[in-house]
Amino acid sequence: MSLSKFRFFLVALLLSAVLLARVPSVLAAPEDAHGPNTSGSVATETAETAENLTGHDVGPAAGGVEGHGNAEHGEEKAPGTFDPHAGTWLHLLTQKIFGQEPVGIVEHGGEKHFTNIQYDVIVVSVFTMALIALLGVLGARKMRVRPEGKPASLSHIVETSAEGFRNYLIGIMGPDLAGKYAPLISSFFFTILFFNWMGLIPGMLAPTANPNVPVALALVAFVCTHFIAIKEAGFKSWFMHFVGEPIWLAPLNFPLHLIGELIKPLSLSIRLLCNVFGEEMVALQLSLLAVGAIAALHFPIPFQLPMLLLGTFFGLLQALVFSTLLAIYVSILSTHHDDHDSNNIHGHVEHVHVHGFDEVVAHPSQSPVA
Amino acid sequence: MHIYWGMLALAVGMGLPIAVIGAGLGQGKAIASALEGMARQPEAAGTIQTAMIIGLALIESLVIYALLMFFMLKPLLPTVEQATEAAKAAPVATMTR
Repeated sequence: MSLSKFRFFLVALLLSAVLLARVPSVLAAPEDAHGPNTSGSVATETAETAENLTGHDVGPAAGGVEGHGNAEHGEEKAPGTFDPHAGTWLHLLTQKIFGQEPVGIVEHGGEKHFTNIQYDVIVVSVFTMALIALLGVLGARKMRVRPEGKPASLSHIVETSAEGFRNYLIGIMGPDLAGKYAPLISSFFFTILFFNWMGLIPGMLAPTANPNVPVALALVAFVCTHFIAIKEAGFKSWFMHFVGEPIWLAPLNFPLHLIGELIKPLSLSIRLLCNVFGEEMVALQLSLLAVGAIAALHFPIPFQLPMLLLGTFFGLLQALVFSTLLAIYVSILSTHHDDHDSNNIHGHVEHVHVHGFDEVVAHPSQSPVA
Repeated sequence: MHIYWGMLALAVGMGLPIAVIGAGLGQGKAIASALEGMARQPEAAGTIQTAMIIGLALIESLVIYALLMFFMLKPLLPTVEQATEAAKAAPVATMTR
């Protein structure tokens, strides 16, 4: 029973201690109103936890609850307004990088204006991506074989998930396309998965709930799809996808297919964004529902727990749907227009090969028919 | 003003449930055929289940578009104070017959 068994736990504990340590300069700043330790009653604490749960995407509904907890702090706020600087566990890091100015409020000639730059999303996104990279690197090192011959557990998890997703992609795209582009699509999958799951941690926000992040992901996916299509199948085949099957219907088909292609990143991004945002909005409303009960009972009851459990499943599902659709789009656009596509995507009937009768044989004695 | 707000409230309240009706019917059909396929060939149950989940997520995304519209229309609704002020300023004509 050595201490090295607990090394990950100790490292996590140390990191949490560093992140949670309250530096005096931060305490003096007026925007520290919403730190988790500065609330009075249990009710406002739960509301702030609920608000921390959703980061910045809190509507005016939560403003009324917050108004009570903030009256004694430095900033002047009308009741029912929303202070966007709730912060996350990475609050200190955000302030160190982006300065002491409260997020979203900048000064122009003495007047404070509300801006839309949300630095917390950037910091949480980069932190999550660094976490994924760290997990990948640690899990993919040479398998550390224990004396019994079993590999380390992190390698198990990382290799199983990577290989499992790769097999799933082989089922969609075929072995040669999947062999080349599984790393790209797996990156999308794991990034979106971890982004969605970050919203479930109290005190963190889901980067995919901010409109910018899913749009960025969908735009990158869109550009990648078309580059891969041109690289795999050639420019002519890519262009023929837009023109369509009977060439004389091209004036009708071309705008239709063009709009169909442009709508794909839009639908991918809106689906991901609204699912995650709606999920955490429901969790917020449930938490606000719980405030009254907690104030009466003086005991915290997590009303939003079923929603968080559902959010785990739906976060995974949305990442899976995004990656599956991306893989399908890549495979559709990358198949040669004249080649037989194994899934018969274009609905051609004249390319059916009947096994046993169409195979090229070198010698008649090799033919399957005796 | 009254008519605008009335119609807006109707749209905000009724838009999403109508989308949910369509999604409920569509998802019911999808799950029914998936279950039938699974019952017919139990060894393909894993594949069918995966395809069913993805199909459900795609149908659900159409409801999510309606949810997006709800979130975009919701800030346009008046508060109770605004509505009572407008009602005082321009009272709705009542039938006198």
